[in-house]
Amino acid sequence: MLDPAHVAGVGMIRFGKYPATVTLERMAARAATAALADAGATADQIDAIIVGHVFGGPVAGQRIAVELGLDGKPIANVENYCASGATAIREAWVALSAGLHDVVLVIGVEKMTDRIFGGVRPDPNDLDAAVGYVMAAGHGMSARRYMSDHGATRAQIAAVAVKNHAHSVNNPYAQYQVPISLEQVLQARPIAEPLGLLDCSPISDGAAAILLCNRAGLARLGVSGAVPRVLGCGLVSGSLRSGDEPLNAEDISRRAAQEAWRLTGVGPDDIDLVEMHDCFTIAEIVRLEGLGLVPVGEGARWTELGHTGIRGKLPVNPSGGLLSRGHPVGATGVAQACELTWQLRGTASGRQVAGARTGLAYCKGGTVSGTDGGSVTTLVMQA
Amino acid sequence: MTPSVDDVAELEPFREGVFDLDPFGLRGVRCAVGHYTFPVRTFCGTCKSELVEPVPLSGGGVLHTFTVVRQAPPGVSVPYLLGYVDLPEGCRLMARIEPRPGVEPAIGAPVDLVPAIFSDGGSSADRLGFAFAIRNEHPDPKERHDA
Ligand SMILES: [Zn+2]
Repeated sequence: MLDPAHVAGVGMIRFGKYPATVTLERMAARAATAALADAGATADQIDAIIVGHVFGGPVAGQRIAVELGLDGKPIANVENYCASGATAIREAWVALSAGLHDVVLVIGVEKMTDRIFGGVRPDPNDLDAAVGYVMAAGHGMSARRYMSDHGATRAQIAAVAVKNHAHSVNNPYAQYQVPISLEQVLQARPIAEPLGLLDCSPISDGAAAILLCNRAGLARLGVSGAVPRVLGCGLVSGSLRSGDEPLNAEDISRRAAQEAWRLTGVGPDDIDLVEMHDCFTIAEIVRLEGLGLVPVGEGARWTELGHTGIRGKLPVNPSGGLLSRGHPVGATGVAQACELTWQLRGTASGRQVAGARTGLAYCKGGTVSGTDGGSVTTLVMQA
Repeated sequence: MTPSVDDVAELEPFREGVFDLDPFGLRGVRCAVGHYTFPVRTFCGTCKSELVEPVPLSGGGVLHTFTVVRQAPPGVSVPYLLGYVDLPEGCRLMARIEPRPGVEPAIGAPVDLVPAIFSDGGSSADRLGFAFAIRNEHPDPKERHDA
């Protein structure tokens, strides 16, 4: 088993819509500066920078590093669509465990509101994109099939949005910090039926950063005492599916969970809270089931019954998730790690999950025609 | 309206090797075990065997699920129906679904392959693609007569 990576500091900016004059580089530098301040570290103590982004353009990481005075360091740009930030954390964990670096700054960043309109879709070369696929459509089809297969109601699926928005009221970093009603979700403008606007995460700008260390790095930064650790991060990709299995089989999530348990020695019963990639309401439900954390077909009912609320038996998205925090795609995985860090430190104030000791963060990035996804990451962190 | 093959014969296919024109049909591969894969690959999508032969796929299938897309990026006109279609060979593929007036789309509805025009709203030339049309299971005798 690889050594864990220790969290020296985290920082993010509030997700939302920033004017075009607030650049990607500026947003990322602000998040990174916050993470360094949180760690009590300085830029010259950093060995390497890994940046997750999708739409930031060539060498965005290097453009950001220059703003931070980190020019000349090893820098890698990581793209795995919505799992880009989490994949960047995985790369840092591996490098730290190998002893290649001792202190690595990971940044997730995206500036979307000035370049993405009407939703995100796969690369145009993908066969599904050519026939008219947009991400919302995939989840609309998933939701309709889920309701048909499991007798779930539209309202039970909508309850994911109500729950996550209730959580984000206490998250100062969330794009939306106001509660919404079930009626509002059900009455919202349809996007990809049966899903409406409030079933969809928004198009957002944002940045998040995490400063990770191995033991030598902790000593360099003068960090003493226990800090939250990245025990490991699973990564799998979509596999070709045959036509005779359920559309919502979520085999990719099942495999990602297996990877998480294999890499960290943690099991599903150890998970105290989940930061789940709820890019759409239905996605939270089927992915929790795929991970094996909720029985298949029960996720919608669990949500309605409050089992996935902050005080439920499996708290999911205390941050408010992508639906409320916003979804600047490359930044999301790092924002999830920030949230788990605050939860494991016990400093999440109004949204704190009582007794949080072990957390799981799940990201799913992109789609590939004929497969059950693009990439899925399963990040396991422990106090 | 669903164009006939003759109407669209002058259009370039949107991609090479996805369908045949005469007769109009999707192409796939079949492995020795009998798994079918769409689109054509050099191996079987189910068992990864490289012993595959090209085959025409069925023109009819069943709607596995669907959505009405009401918001899409610029260049894509909305609304439109998008669905997963199960072919009898065991392939599930994504396609546009052409509605039939007076017939509500439903899971399990029979659908038939039809040629379709793929357009990006004019920034490049229209292309020939494919879609599935909801089958008229109870054809109006009058409509049949008119045809
Ligand atoms: Zn085969």
